[in-house]
Amino acid sequence: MGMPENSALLQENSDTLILVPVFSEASVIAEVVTELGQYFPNICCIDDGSPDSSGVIASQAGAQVIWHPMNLGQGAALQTGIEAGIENTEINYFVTFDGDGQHSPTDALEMVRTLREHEFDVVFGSRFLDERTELTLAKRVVLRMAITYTNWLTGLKLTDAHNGLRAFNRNVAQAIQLQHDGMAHATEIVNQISKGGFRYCERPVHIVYTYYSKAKGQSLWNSVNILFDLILR
Amino acid sequence: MRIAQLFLMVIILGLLWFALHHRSSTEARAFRRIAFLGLTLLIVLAVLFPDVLTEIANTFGIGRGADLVIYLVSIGLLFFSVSAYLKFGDMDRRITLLTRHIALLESKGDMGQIDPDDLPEV
Repeated sequence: MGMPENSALLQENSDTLILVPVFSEASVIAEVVTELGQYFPNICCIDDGSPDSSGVIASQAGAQVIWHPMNLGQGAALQTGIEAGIENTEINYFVTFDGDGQHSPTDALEMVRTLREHEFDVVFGSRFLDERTELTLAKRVVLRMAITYTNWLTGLKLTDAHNGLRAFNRNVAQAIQLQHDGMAHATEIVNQISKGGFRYCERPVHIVYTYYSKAKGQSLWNSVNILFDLILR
Repeated sequence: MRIAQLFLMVIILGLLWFALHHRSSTEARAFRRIAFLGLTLLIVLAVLFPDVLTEIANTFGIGRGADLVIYLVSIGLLFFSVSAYLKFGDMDRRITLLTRHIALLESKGDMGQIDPDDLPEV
């Protein structure tokens, strides 16, 4: 921090809000916020009713924190963050970023640049566009099935359905109305972007599966629950 | 498959559709109450007159009266499960909206600033 190039970056990104849904990330959230803070001045953590002190730590690390009085799920946390961001008229770009440290701030930086320099409304992060991300076979198979289903449902052509790293502009933020509180929101976001007719693209991102993020991440069984939630409503 | 069996299938699917699409309407609530009373009456009758029930079951192509009761109770259970699932979904939705509204109000300081002394120890 404190390098001149970074202060220029911070200036450039003053119209960008990073949304970090946080649930029980006390051991990693400070590092996530600090790393993001080198590139982005506006970081909003939505503490989704964590039983630990994740929100306090995020706040001390320099993030704005919104507190859910109880745990609702990642979809609800993102919707809260989006609505808070819309009220701030200086914010033109939104980035959703996982709180467990599996995403890279430089990927987020590249995605916001893509939004600025090209005619896109949304940039989706994809772990399948290059070889950086290492996945187990089971996870690879389930994610492939998820993306096949999402593409079939929405008519978009994406390579990675359930990636928490996305960047979008204000128009998209205003169009998104997440109804699924849990993890089914990933498909829901894609669906609403499809219905809104927004211009989208994908960028390769690197997902770092640490021991921590693996332990905390989505169980493969949860894909059954997600599918059920999406169908029966 | 007998025509009567087909008839029963249509009723099951019709009820499921009804449970999915009219879950909060007045008709749906009235329907649930009628179904509840009807099922209670049927069970009482089944205990009192097992033979009559078997005759009714036979006209539907079902062997015994007790089997007919099992099928109807199964339908009732399925119907109840789906209704309850959807009702809980609606309730979750309302809790979500309320919780998110409180969170946003709090973040704007409309409900008073968060007192740092009230926050849990790090």
